[in-house]
Amino acid sequence: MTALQQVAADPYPWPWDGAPDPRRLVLVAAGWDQHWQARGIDAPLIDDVIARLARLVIDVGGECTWIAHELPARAPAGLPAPTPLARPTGATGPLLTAAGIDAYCGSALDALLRRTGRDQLLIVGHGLEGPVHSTMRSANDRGYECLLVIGASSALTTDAAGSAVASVTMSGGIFGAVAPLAAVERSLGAAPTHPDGDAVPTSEEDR
Amino acid sequence: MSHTTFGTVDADPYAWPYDGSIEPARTALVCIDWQIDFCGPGGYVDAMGYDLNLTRAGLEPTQRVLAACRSAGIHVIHTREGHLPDLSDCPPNKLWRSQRIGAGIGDAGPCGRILVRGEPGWGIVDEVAPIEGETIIDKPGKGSFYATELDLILRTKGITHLIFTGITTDVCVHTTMRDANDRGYECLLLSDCTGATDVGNYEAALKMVTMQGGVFGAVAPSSALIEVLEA
Repeated sequence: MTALQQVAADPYPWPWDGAPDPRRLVLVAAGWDQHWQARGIDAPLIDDVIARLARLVIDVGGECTWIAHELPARAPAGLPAPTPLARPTGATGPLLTAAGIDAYCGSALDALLRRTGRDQLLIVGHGLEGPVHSTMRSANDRGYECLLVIGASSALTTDAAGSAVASVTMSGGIFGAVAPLAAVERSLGAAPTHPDGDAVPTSEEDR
Repeated sequence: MSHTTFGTVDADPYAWPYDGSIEPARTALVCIDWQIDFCGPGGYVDAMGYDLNLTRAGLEPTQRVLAACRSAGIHVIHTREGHLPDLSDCPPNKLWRSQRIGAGIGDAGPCGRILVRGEPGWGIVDEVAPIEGETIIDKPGKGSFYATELDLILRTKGITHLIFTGITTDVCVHTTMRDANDRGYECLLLSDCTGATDVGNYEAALKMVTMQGGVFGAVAPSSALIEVLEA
């Protein structure tokens, strides 16, 4: 099993209690359905990034979880069924359905992660300000140690995305930490795909 | 108790609520974390060095909204973030992060132990204090639903519509509004009754609510609500 390095993340090296542990590491892909993929900026590019990262996580001994979301419906007609995306080639892990935009809402995610002892979460997916953020917030309140991977989540808007990242890092990491994809790849023992890319957006330039 | 039904509020991106009228018996004003720790001198946020004016800006409009909602017979619910005195409900990473920035949960601060239930700094500021008969929810996290009795109380009372005030916009208010929306509650956030430690994050949080036709509900200034309740 590969020895992993702590991720160079903001506002603290992730995870908080030392190096990532392959037995505790899990990639959580939120917004893994056609609705959110269709709304994500650069979604095809993000799909490729998530596919590579998922295979890397599996290679080092981690797991992956994929979540499709029913949509909260204001009309009493009921919840539309989501159309999940396929898992990327070479990636494994359960495909769950959540009853809301938060992957924990009405899903088996919490029970699954507790049962399998996975509490170090790499958060990725479609809809940075939507499913990805709701899921990270819920995970953090439940005590999971979360890392939002920049460059592995598709944004819904260009102007709110920077704040979605910045709000994670406020107050010493109020929902966890953020890191560029390259930093995560390095910590998992892989050569970064784009060593100079994936910069963490600064709050100033994205507002 | 009034049994009047009120019309819709001029909100963004749609006239709120979606189902055409405000029924006080089915509606609650949820005031989130107006605690000394977050908006009072010497509290947690003050100890972290943020500008208190940003979190206090919504207090005055919230006072007016509280008066209007109480008079209209709308339920009022207050929330407080805080941990048990032995910190047994505080995740270790949350504790570590707070210590790392010099505002350790459970540490002695100018208003008692930081973010601990029962301490002076954990109390709600006088300006928007609860009155007899109003519900108070104590929560260990940012969201008001996780590990609390809020959902059960709302369902028991038959409350389906929620109006939000409180701090901070991008953290506890947004998390609670997202959770409420996922659970099927129809949500309105009052833009001038909330604030954050960072103006950009406040503005982005308001915008995120209104994305995609109101993905988490709607946003309106408090004047638009008060106009409807006092019409």
